[in-house]
Amino acid sequence: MSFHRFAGRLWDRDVPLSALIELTHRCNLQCPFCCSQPGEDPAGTPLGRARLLRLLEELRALQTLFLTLSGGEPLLHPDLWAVGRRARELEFAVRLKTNGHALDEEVARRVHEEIAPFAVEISLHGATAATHDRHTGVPGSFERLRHHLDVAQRMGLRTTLLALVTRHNEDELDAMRALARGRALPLVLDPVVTPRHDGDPTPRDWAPTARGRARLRALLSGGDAPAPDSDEGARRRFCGAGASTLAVDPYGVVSPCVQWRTPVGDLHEQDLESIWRGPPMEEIRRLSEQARRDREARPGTALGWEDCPGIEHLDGHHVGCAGHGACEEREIEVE
Amino acid sequence: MIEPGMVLRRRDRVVYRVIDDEALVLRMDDAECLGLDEVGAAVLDRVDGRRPVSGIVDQLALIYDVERAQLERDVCAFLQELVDAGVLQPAAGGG
Repeated sequence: MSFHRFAGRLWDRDVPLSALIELTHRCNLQCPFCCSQPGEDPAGTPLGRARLLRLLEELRALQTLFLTLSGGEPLLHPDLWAVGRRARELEFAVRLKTNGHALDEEVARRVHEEIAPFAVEISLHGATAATHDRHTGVPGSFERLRHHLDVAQRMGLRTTLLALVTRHNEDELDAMRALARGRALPLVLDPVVTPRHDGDPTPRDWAPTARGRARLRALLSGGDAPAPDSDEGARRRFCGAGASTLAVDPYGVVSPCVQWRTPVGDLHEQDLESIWRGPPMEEIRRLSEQARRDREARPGTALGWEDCPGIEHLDGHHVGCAGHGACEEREIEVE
Repeated sequence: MIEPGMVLRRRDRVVYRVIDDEALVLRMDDAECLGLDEVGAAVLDRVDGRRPVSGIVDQLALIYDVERAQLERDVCAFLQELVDAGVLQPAAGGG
């Protein structure tokens, strides 16, 4: 049985195969299109180490396999190592989602030896220093990234490049692919520049143009899209958000997906299983079923490229979704 | 060839979850996934690096209404498939 088929079936079985934990919203870059609010929320109480470690136990009990440690920049979080080591002990397939800026020799060695992640996913914002640095707001970040990619690859970290497609790098898609291929690294292209988590639409100013999106569609249809799934037609939900995935922000707020930020529970007050099986998450699943019915009422619509309920929740508009309804699965296939 | 006296263990960086009696197995080094049905999941879940294959068969015999010799042959064949698939390997000192 293929992974896509197995994971897709979980959409209807309410098993959180994938979870994403945003350890912090702090970051060492200044990307103006980032969906996270820069810095910590003074009104929020970050999850402490003990609660984070208990969260891992709760995820393990719910049969989560893929655990993404994200941010902000997760390498800035002091508990990354404790969380990563425990995640390894609990046999999660850990993905570390980082901008790579702090991934020097010593940090990469610790990641390799202590966390032993399934994958390290590193952001790439262009194929040239001018473009990449324009995106990060930090001069020299491209050269530093290239060096840190050398380090990660030499260390044997299984590395994937993630590129958010914007109107300022859409002309470098082919060059970014060439860069990735030159390093024998998979590249995941994401066309969805979302509003900030608080609804601030400013990042959308960086969204790719129609021409850029068309180019991306052409690239994906050229072989980078997930394989067709014979079970697809039998599914009743739009995607796995809240059904096979969940996300946790640094303050313990649980949502169905990192793109669908409707709060469904608070880990300061509830255990994860109660949240996962609680009425707010059930409502998310109902909405996901409704979104699927809505989409199926429009024959000819390309699967998964429209009507993500999460992004609709954020900005009230229909925009393209990179996920094909399977955001968490693509990195495995696009190699 | 898997023998009843052998002890097997999961290879390093192979992880899995049993979900609704089925198993999803991931080889992290090459991102290959394998789905196992209920019986396959029951076998894999009993491979612990200590228990011999015969012990796994003993446990499964309590669950499945199959003649023991046949069950042993089936389990050995399946475990060989998992070894060939890079999921399992003989445990050190376990035959």
